[in-house]
Amino acid sequence: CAPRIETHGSDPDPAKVAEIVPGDYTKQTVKDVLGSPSSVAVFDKNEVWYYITEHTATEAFFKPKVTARTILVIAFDNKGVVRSVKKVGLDQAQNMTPVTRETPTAGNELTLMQQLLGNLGRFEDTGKKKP
Amino acid sequence: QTSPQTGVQTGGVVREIRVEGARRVEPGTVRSYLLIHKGDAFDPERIDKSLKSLFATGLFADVTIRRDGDVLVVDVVENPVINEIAFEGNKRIKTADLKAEISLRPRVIYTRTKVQNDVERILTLYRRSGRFAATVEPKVIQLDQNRINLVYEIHEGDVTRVQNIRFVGNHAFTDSDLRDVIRTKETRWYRFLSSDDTYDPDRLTYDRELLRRFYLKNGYADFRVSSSVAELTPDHKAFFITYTVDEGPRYRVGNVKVAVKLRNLTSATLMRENTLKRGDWYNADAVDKSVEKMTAQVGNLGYAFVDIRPRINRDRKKHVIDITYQVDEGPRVFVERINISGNVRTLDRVIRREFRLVEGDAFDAAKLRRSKKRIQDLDFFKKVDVEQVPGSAPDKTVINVKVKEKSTGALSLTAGYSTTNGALVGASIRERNLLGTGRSLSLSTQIAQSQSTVNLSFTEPYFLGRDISAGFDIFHTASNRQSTSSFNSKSTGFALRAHYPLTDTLTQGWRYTLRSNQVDSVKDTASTFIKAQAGKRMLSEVTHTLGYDTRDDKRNPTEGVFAQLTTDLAGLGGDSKYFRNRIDGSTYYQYADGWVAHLRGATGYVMPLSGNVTILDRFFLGGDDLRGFASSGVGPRDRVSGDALGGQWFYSGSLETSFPIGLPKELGVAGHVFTDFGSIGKIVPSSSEVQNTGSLRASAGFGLSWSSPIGPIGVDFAWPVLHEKYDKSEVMRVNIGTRF
Amino acid sequence: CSSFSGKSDQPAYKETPVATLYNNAADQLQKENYAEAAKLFDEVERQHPYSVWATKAQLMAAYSLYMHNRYDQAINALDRFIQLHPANKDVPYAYYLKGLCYYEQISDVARDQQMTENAYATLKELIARFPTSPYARDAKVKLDLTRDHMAGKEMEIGRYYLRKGEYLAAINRFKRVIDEYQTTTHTPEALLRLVEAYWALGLKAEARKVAAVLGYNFPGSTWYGDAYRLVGGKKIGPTAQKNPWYKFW
Repeated sequence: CAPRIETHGSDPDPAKVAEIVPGDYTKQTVKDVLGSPSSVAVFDKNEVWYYITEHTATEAFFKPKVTARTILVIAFDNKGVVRSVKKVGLDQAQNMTPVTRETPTAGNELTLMQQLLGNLGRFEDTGKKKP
Repeated sequence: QTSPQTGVQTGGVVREIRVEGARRVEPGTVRSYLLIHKGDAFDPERIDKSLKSLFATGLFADVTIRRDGDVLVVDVVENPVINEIAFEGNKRIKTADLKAEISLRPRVIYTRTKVQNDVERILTLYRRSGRFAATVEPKVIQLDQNRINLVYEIHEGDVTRVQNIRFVGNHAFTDSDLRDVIRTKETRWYRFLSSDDTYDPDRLTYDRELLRRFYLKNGYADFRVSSSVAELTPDHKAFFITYTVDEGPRYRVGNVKVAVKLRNLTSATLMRENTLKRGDWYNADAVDKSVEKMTAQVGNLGYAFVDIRPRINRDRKKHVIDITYQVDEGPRVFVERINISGNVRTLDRVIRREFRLVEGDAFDAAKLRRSKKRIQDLDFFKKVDVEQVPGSAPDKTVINVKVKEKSTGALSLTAGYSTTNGALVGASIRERNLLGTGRSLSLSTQIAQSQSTVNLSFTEPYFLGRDISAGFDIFHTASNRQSTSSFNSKSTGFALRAHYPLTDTLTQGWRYTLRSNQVDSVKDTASTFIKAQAGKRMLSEVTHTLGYDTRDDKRNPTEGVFAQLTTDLAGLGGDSKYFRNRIDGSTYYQYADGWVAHLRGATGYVMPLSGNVTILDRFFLGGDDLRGFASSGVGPRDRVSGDALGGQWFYSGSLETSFPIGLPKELGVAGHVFTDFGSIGKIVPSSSEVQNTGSLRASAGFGLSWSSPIGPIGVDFAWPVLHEKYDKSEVMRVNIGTRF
Repeated sequence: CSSFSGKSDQPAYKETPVATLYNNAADQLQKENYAEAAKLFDEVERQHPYSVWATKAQLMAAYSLYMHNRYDQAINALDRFIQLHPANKDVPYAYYLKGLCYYEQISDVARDQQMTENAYATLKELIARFPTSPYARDAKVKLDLTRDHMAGKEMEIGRYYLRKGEYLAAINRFKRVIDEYQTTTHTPEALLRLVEAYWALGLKAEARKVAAVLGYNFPGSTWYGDAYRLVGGKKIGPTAQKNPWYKFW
């Protein structure tokens, strides 16, 4: 049975990507040619743009396997002109398992009783409160 | 309201503002709405604005502002407060519903405009339920301390039905053809259940759309509904609806082209998806379906931004239409964020994981539609609204999903009667969205003459975060098979199960069952073979199922195929060791509206791995799967005790066709004619006392089925045609399953 | 027209002087049977709409409903009080109570945050209109907790995408926490998650840069420990710049 092929992310046209040449393209012209970046670097003073494209194959119930990924990294100088164009492929991906710890948050957890009683007045708790 | 006194001398400064007549509203409040304050000049323009702002509050029946020397006097007459609201004469619509509809409440301020709006709201409520003759008269009763009671006197009148629907200008199709197309129906005695015969303006516009689509499907490209008029009879009792249509000529298809402006995509690959050939009658539906298929095909080829538009140009003289599918690069839009709201109980991820789109992906309308369908299929929500709003950049969009949850906990009681199980009563508590995690937990019990079960089952639809539905069942079943094989059986145990899709139509499932089977209270007149199998046996069994399902509708399919291979391997521990296979298949074909042919077949074989196959693990035939014969009425039988012993192999089949019996569709009554056939055999150990010919049995018969409001009801009459002397026949079978 | 026998749902209409009616209600409130107190306060307003007690009774009815966790009814009563008596001295308290009604219905981050938004809006309006009122101070504290909760929702969705391997989606969610909720308790974790996502994508330089910011601003935090372990510690300690512009506080 054939796997389901899907593309994620911005998928820019390779021909257009080749046009971006450091030195003469500015943020506006890059945006006109490639559209908005998938993501912008968080702390870079003079901005780095990322165009991320991913091809995945999903077979039956298995997790989708990433078959190809190209990240176009366009760095600008402080005048907003393209300083460098770099490509990061799937080969440089690192395997990483996220830390399981989470910052605690408050909020009423839905208790089993509230669920089973349906919404008798939302989250009706008849407990008395300090006046 | 009287107009403000105009003779206010200008000039001089307001030394003091005095408020008179305010008994309930505080003077401070009145002053806060004024635009003129102490120390300001007497400016008539500002005074006039203050007047308007005081009226706007709706607190006052009348306001006058006058000057008394340097004092600005604001004289107000307060609107009364409503003490109580009552409704009279409302039979069809309950007071609670009326109260919920109107804006005025006890202890709220009474204003004439609010009462008029509420009268209008009540009238629309009645119109929507088809009562156009209703009238509403508001009455006010003065009480002390400027309070009033409000009474709405309602004369409901009876329902305004649609008496007659006529069509003008239709040559290609008769009036009755077109009446089947639209939703609004003429009033008939048997339509007491449905409300389709009441006049509803929204449904009228929907009917126009249905007519347009019907004609476009049959090639009338220039079709127009020139007018749809609903006349009310003078006594307000009934409506006459007249549709004037302009059919226009019928068009054939000219040449069909696909114009592709995409990098390395040829028009040939897409042309295959087009279903309209030159010379066919033009069909708008077929064009839309072709576009859908092309979009899906393009999506599979990895193109994210495709916009396919069919362009139709008519040749009015030759009545020919040329179709060009315009395929070009759609606007590049990306999904910036997916916001989910309204999920008071369901977890965010339970909805988000159904999405075929991820934030950052290219926007794809087909994937969005499929995601919405998947969320609706969860059946946790009354309403699922998916809207697309512009994002932070022109080529970014945000998808907002608003869900309205419904209670997924269900306490359902069932009662019914069927020839195989006798009278049955059942109850189940089921929560399909446990704690909002999407998991389901249910405890159900069913008590019937032939079998009683208690079953606790838990299912996690996304086991290990994947598209695997896994869960466990804990069950206890007590069967009374005295009448067929003179013994009772009890089985208690648990099962672990998982099943998952291999493709859109193929699913695979695994199940491990560990249970103890007990055969007891064996009659002393029972067959020696059965007596030999009394006692308790442990069963540890692995089951593998492979399912193929392309039916269009699970409950009453009209086309498609369903096939299932089930393989049971018992013997990893436990006493019974056997290898059992079974194949079930059925296919449906609708050859006319309501006429559905249904071919069904099944066969199975069980082979012992050591020792013999006990009675509980053998096949039995008769009853539902071989109508005309009693349940377990066919197959190896003990000549002396007459007990059915079951067999190690069986095959059965049925050819059936269901058809409408002239009653309208809404009542859901259908007849069916069928022939069943099958056979069963091979019992080890056997002896001369066992009658076991393994010959072909067959039966023929007819029946009626009715999906009544209280549940499906069916009755079949079937007569054995090929049978053995020792088989047990059963002509009539009844099945009333009520669910309330 | 119809007679008004006692069939209506209001308690039997017995004419009682306003002071005793009000005191009965206050007693019930004292004895903590709030439903009864709310009904009696309503009765004060219904029988004596013009007495000075009526205004106070409206507020007390709302307070009783709040104590009885009948949040929606309390909010309706408070809205009516604010509309009828905009200039009354108790209006700040009415806003505050309304904010509490929403605040106490805030559900956990994995579910609908409508109540959080309502609480946020009401408390913000209270602080804006009555900055000097005694309730403004507590409202500010609750406002920060509400913002923290909204950041928690972004983190929840970010982690969902991160665990599914959808790094682009995760990065944009965590970036939003840094951009809009940087004063909340979730910022250190958001920084770590960005390090994890960038690292997984192979954008090592970017990952190290974010880890440096995390180290600089939250040197002692466990999150920095995780980032350090992941990114391999090659000279990513706090950089020597005097006052790097990205220093938050």
